[in-house]
Amino acid sequence: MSFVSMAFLLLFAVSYLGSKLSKTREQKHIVLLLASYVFYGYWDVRFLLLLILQTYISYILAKQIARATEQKRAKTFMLIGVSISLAILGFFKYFNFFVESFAQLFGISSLGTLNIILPVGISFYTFQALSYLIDVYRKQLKACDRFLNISLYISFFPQLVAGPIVRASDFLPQLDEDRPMTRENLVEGMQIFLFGLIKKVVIADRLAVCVDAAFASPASYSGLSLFLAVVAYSIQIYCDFSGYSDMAIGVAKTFGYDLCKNFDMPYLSRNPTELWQRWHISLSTWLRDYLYIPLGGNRKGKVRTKINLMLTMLLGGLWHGANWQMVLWGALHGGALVVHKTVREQSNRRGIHIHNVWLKRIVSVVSVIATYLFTCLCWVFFRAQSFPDAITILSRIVTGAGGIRYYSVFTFVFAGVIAIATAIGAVKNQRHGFYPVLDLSKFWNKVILILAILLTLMFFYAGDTAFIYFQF
Amino acid sequence: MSKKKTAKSLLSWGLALFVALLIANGISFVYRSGAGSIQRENAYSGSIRTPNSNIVRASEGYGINHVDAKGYLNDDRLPLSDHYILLMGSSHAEALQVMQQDNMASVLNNLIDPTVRTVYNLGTAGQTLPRIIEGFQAAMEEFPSADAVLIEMSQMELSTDDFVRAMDQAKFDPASTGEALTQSLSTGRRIRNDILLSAPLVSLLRQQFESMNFGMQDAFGIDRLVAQANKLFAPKSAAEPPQSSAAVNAGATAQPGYAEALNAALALIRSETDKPIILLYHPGVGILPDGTIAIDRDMRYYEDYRAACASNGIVFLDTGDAFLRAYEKDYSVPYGFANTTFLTGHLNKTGHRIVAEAFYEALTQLQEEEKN
Repeated sequence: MSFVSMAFLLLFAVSYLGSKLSKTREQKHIVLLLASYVFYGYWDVRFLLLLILQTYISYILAKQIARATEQKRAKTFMLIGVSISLAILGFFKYFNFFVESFAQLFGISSLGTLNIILPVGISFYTFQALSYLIDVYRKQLKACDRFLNISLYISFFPQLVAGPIVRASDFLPQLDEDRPMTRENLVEGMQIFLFGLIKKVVIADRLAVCVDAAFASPASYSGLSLFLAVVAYSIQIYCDFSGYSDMAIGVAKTFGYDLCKNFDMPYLSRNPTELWQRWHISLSTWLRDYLYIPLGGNRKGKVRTKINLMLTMLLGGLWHGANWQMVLWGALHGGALVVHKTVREQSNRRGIHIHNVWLKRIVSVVSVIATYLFTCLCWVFFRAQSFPDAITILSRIVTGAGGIRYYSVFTFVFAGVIAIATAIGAVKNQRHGFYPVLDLSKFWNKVILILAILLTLMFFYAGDTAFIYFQF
Repeated sequence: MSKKKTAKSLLSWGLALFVALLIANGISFVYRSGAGSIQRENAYSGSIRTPNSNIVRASEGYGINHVDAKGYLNDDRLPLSDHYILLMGSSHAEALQVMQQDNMASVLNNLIDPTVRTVYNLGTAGQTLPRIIEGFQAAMEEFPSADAVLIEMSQMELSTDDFVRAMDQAKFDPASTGEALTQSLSTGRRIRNDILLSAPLVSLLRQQFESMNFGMQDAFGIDRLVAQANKLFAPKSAAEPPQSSAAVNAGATAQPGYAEALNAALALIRSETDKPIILLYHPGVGILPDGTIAIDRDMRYYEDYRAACASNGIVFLDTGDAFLRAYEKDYSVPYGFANTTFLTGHLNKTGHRIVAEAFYEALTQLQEEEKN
């Protein structure tokens, strides 16, 4: 079930009413869990069983970890849990990829692949389950006694299929509190939801039209058209994914729960390190805490730090999709992080610092543009249908090749909108994003809200509305 | 006190709604405005646009077009010449997607003589060749001074039955003209039209809701469940998925009797005027993997059209090669817009120019032949 559907509206209304009428915290959790299972089972009820199995394994093994008197025994249970979760994820998401890559590597004509359907959101809920197990093992979190709570944590429908990847340590304590469903929460949550909806159905879906056309046959379009298509994709994927996160945060808010921020004006980043502090924050912090730091982080010397960074980003790329393009996408980002870290180390070592305020500003602007262009370069490999297509796109852009001149009006319109919104965030909130939640006691705020709803209805794109990150 | 507060709050929300609607309506004027169609019988086309109005469309290209007193999209600032050319066609000829001065009728008019209006555009959405034939006699009666008839078409796969039905032509009734229909409108209908003209937001929202495909139609999943159940319990042969239309077309052969029906239909319109008739076919264009484009002519019927036109003294034009030349010259393509996708949808400014030039060339050649 997608957020952008009447079915979801109905589910939300029923679950909101049910939660509101619940007399106890437990009743509310039951209502939300049922709603979450309906939400997930709506796609394919068979995968609901997989979700429940994943939940049960996490629940049982976390309890075993907590009960273990010896560290070694706790570690064994943790490793069993992590292995089972990764095995499930690996089977559904990576089996065919590894079989095909192995066959190609050794020149074997066919090893036989399986016809596997990827369960929606498996990468997201698996990571949530892993974070729970590891946090319990690290004693940063107590094992949850109630199966209901852990089930709701892993399957909470607002963030179940496309994040944010919520940490157990952030969410489970909220389930132990009375989280009131106030009018203020409803008003704020709905406004955040609307904000995300506009990003998705007005901006992202509209841009998808030109992006899909250009990436489908890049050899036909001029270099400038392709460059604009890449810019359009950078806006599309940002609005699509952050729009979903906003909607998830908004819906959770109406039920009284707070989900973590997932995007923070990423295209305002001045370097690759900052980019990953602003883009898909819940994934990048997850990778940092559960992969980069366990690998040794920056504690084992400069070279090892860079190897760890590279490995983390390679796996981050693989998380996004089981193909070599995603691996390259991760490698490019990893490489950029390594280069940035090296440059920073060198400049610190040699005491190179800019003191002139104007020069600092110019360098800052140039850095933002350079980081954005680098991000766009990476998006080409992320979005292109194949490696040769990605190379065609880049070479045509660089050579300024001739072709159909497709300068989509919406690329300019929405690039302007994003630039203005970013500028407002930069000025009003010290280079950080914020939700423009309106105080509805003021007349003109009411007008703005109603107008935003009307404009959404007037300009939403009525074609394909699938979320990009559902496939991950 | 509480009641007073509630009333004040309701009033405030009501006023806010009104102000927001006003602003949204204002935006609709420049995005999508202009009244819809008036249905009619006994005339060239089954519908006309609301006479003496303006239409703005921005969802595919951008066009501001004037509707004349007869209900067709013509810029009537210049009076129609005593001797004029009729342009018949579908939504491509109607050309809501481009500015009026850029459509094929205006470009052709400018090529012939920009100081007088010699091309009258009868382009109507949905007016395929069988419908043109059905209304041809009525058009000849409504526009008796036409010196030539140009027919624009983009689709050759039409039903044989439709051609056969088209032979029973509409009889022209002067009460069905745009002017007469405007005069005879009831007060209620007039008010409704005025409201629709002044509140374009209504039709914009209606169009948006009609085009929704994100689950509104099957919000509760019942249709899906019924379809699954039907598939499960249906006999094997019936449960097999139908072929897609593309697959059907790919393997399909021409309909039996098509050539004969087409020939009879063209013979009929030929018999209704001794003036030149030009039938212009503008085929689809597709992108090939190497970046070049290919003309997508419907070869199942192509020769039938050439033969039927030749045997009935109708000039047959095909702009496919002109489309290729335009692409080879400067990569310009005839279909699609910068706010949709190129090579899909309606003719754009380039496409209209190419079509107009093809018509002009053919008309000039006919004139030369006449002189000789």
